[in-house]
Amino acid sequence: MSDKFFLGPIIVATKKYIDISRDEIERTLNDENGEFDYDWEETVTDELHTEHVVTLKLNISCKGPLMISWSIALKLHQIRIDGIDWHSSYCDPDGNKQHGWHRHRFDPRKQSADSQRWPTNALEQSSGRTDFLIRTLKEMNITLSGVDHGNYNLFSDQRGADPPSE
Amino acid sequence: METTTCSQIREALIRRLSDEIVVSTVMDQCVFSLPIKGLDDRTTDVFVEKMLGESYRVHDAGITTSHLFAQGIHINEHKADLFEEVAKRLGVNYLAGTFEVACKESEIHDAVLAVGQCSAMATVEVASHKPVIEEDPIKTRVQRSLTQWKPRYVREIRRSVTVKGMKARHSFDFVSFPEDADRTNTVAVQVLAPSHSPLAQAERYGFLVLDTEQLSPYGQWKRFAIITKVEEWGNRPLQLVQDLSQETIKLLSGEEESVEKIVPQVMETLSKAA
Repeated sequence: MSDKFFLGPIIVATKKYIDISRDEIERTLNDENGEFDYDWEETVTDELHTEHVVTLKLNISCKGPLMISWSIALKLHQIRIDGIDWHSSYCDPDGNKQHGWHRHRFDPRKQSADSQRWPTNALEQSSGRTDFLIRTLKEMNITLSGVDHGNYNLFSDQRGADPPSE
Repeated sequence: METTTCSQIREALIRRLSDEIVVSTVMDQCVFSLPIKGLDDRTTDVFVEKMLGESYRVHDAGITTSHLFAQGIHINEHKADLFEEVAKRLGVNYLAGTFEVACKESEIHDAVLAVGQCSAMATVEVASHKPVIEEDPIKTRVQRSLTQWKPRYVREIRRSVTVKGMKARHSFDFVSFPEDADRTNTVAVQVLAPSHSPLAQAERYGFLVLDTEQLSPYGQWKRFAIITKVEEWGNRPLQLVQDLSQETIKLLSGEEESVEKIVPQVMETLSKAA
């Protein structure tokens, strides 16, 4: 099997859709100790108009009250190809000292976005988890479902049992 | 080596360390960026928070764990135990994903260095983290098996076919169109993953079916549902999908490979079914 890292820049630039609502992500963050982990298959088209199906992963970490400790990452083959987080001090690819929120950009040579950090103002004046999700997902070209199906477990047992009698 | 040279090196080292320690303030906390690099090529950030009385809380705000998570390293029980042990040996605690220690004012500098060291050491996993090349996605497998199966009586197999229902537009993952619609059937294939809610997935599929089946030609199409990760579905959503499809195959996680064997058999049967 061959890797799909050659599609990295295309995946990052492509508008991606995940079939989950923001409310559902927030419920998961509340239930799963501030971590969200979601895999989905995305179809992307390369320069030769060939379609490729890739399995992508979205990881969001919102542990603790300090927003600067939160992070979001899009992964291909379990490797970050896009993401946003905060460092008090880092160097951008031009060698300039920077501070604060930055976006991890995919480096085709390293087949990862771990080491290329560019400053981003996507989270300036941002406050709270909802705002963090809206702004970072927009920056990373990820669209969520507008339909929130609510917590089905409240109303019925998805695992096969009958719903509670009225 | 001469004592003077050693002293010069010491002075240069002190200057270097001093220059590299960056201090900023975030939400009334001091943040120290230390010149201790983790294996993920970042300097370590240590926070100092004033607590009640004369005590201070020195911590990494959970940044280490969060950044490891972002890089694909998930902290399981084994790794958490290791972090706890590392922290303990350096006089720090590892609690709920955060390296932290409470101390007095006179101990802050020691605590900052200890938390910084924990944070840097925790990145050791980065060295062994390698890409995981997954098996082909299920839709790629289905497409491949449909392409290989395509018999003479099938004119075309199209991917992502949009159909207009009575109330909304829907999409089938694949549709096989026959040369002669009077002799063989059109077959619509839908791959259904459990997503975050299997019941919501099943109901959405139900809406697709009910919204299109009264319309020609969709009402004559045979529906073939391929259910992945069946162990995550539950009986009711599964039953709903089965009731609304002429044929359903259920795949357990790790059994996706078998789809390439089953799809041609099912397509053959559905194409020729009365």
